[in-house]
Amino acid sequence: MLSSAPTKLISDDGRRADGRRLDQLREIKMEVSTLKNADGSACVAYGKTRVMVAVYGPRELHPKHLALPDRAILRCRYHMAPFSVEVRKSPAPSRREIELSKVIREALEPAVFTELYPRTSIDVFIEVLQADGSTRCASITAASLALADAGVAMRDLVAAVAVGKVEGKLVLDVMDVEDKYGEADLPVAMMPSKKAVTLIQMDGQLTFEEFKEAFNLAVKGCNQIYDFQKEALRRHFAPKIEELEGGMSSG
Amino acid sequence: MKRLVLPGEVLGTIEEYIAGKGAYEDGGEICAQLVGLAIFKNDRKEALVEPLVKEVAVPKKGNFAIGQVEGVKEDLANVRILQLEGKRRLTKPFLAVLHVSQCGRGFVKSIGDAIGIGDFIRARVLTDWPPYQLSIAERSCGVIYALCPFCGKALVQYRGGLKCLDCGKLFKRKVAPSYVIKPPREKRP
Amino acid sequence: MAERVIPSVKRKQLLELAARGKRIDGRGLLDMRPVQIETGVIEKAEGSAVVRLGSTMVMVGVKYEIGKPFEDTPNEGVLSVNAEFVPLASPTFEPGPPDENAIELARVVDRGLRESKCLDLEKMCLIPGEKVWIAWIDIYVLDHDGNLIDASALAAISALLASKIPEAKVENGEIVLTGNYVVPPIRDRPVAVTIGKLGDQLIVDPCFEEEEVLDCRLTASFTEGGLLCAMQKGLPGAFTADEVIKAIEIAKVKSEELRKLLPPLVTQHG
Repeated sequence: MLSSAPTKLISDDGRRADGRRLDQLREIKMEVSTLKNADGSACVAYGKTRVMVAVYGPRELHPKHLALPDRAILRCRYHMAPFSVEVRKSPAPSRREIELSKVIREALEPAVFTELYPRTSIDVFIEVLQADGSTRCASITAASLALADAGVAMRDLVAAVAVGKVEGKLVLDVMDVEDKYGEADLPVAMMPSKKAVTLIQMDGQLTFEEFKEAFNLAVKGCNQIYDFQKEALRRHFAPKIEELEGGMSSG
Repeated sequence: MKRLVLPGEVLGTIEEYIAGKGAYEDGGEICAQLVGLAIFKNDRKEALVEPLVKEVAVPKKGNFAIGQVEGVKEDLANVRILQLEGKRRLTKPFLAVLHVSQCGRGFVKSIGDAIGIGDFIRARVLTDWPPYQLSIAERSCGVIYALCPFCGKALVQYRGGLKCLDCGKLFKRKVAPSYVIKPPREKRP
Repeated sequence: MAERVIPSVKRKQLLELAARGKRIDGRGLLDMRPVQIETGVIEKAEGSAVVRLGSTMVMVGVKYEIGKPFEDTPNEGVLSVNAEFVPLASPTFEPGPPDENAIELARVVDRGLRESKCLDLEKMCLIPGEKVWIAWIDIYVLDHDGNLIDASALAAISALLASKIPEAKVENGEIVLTGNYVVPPIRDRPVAVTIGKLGDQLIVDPCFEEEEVLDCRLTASFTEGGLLCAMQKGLPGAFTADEVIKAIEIAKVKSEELRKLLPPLVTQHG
């Protein structure tokens, strides 16, 4: 559906185009184990941005010559559905999707114990079903949930969020209009428990002072996303404790 | 005491515990690697995570595997592992090898006396790392399903080997007790 | 558990079950799995739907775009159906351009929609020979547990029925979008039903494990008035002439049951 450019992205009383405060996330929804076929899967929504991720593996790697003798290789495919954006996108992978696949892989890799699965591949397939800004961040958040669901050993979950500069103000969790008409976009991914930054990109212009402030806001946002991730995993796996214990006592 | 833990969650310090299965050490702390239940074995000073997630399906030493023989070269057979018993479904087969010395408890002269190309086998995994080595020496292992190489019909168990009921040919095989096609009961005269 | 990986043994098991009127997931031969249709799931698309057939999940997005008509039909809009087998849906799907299975799926769904004349393409012409509406129907398979054709066809017609098309006016040879959205010119609700042949039994809505061992399948699409509007036989086996008739009879009954789950047909204003 076509939407027109708003005249003002931040109102005088500090509200954004969708009514949010500057440092407020959109409505966040997370669900794990959403697909039957995948070894692990997750569905994540940041407002209207909706991403589905499936993990297959660790499994035998083809072609074999790519295999590493001491660890698994992590492969990521970030892909957008043709109907995910306003003007239909061709399903063939674009240069943007290829770059994002790479940075997402590099944001996840520090969290994965690839050394436990030598000569295998861990395949992460990301489908953006609807794009309304911050799709790479939602993808990383969802992918780390799907990896955890697949039983892949991890140092920590990876949580990601983007901070933008819009009409001179810093805003958390950038949506599409803010990305398009704003002055800067700073996506950040972290392993929050390790305080380790695994993705940082920026486009637009920021002073060093603004960057520091934006980065702090991103760290705060990642921690909030991390809480949603943990809540989603607990919600899915807590009922399994009873199954496990029931199985133990009866068996 | 059991609690649900998530990857990255601190289980304790290295002064208290050593990292067991599903846990790792990081900067003086023991952390969880998997979604699961934290278990503390105070007698062994071990903290580990019993997974609530489906365990990854990667061959490990001691696992039983179901596989299909792809090819035979001198003393070695290439086997595609299709399933690991007790683990989740494999989304791609793992490649493994079976050596003639692992085809029986006694001396097996030729690998063709134990298996044939296309046979489905149950085997024990001997190594943790690729190339995975298999053994069908123990009693519960061996061929579980095979087709006649001449007429394509399923073979049946016959006197420690296999027989084609169509063409009557006999085949030497190391047959597993779980062979899926049992011989038809012989009618008494 | 070993039996599951040996295709011929699995086929034998499923045949034995079918001969007793049973199936691997406990259904009767002519039972569908639970069907769930949800529309309006993607706000950015002009129409969308998710259909679940048991564990099979298919999403369809409809986008309307202004483009050039085909030279042989200058007065008609364009219907374009595409299918993506995205690799998250199945371990057997690889990234890359659509393979023959994805293309067959898109074409079977396309034929069901096109031949039912459910979209009045003439009403989608803006400037004859120059500007027409293109309806892009993108089928996105998200989880593959068999019977993708029925799930996709159901999702496609659901997404179309739930769609809104931008209102366009032609002023002095120029197209002006009013900014409003109107009901697209839809006049039928075709439904496809696939019947599988397993030995000498016919089954409805085969799941993935059944599809792996089917002899063959027959898909029949029906219009709201009960007319057959498209058919496709697939897989290497063969039907007897009697089986073809029987399969179409079953499919017709099932198509009427499924149509009750679809969003209603909204007649256009004016």
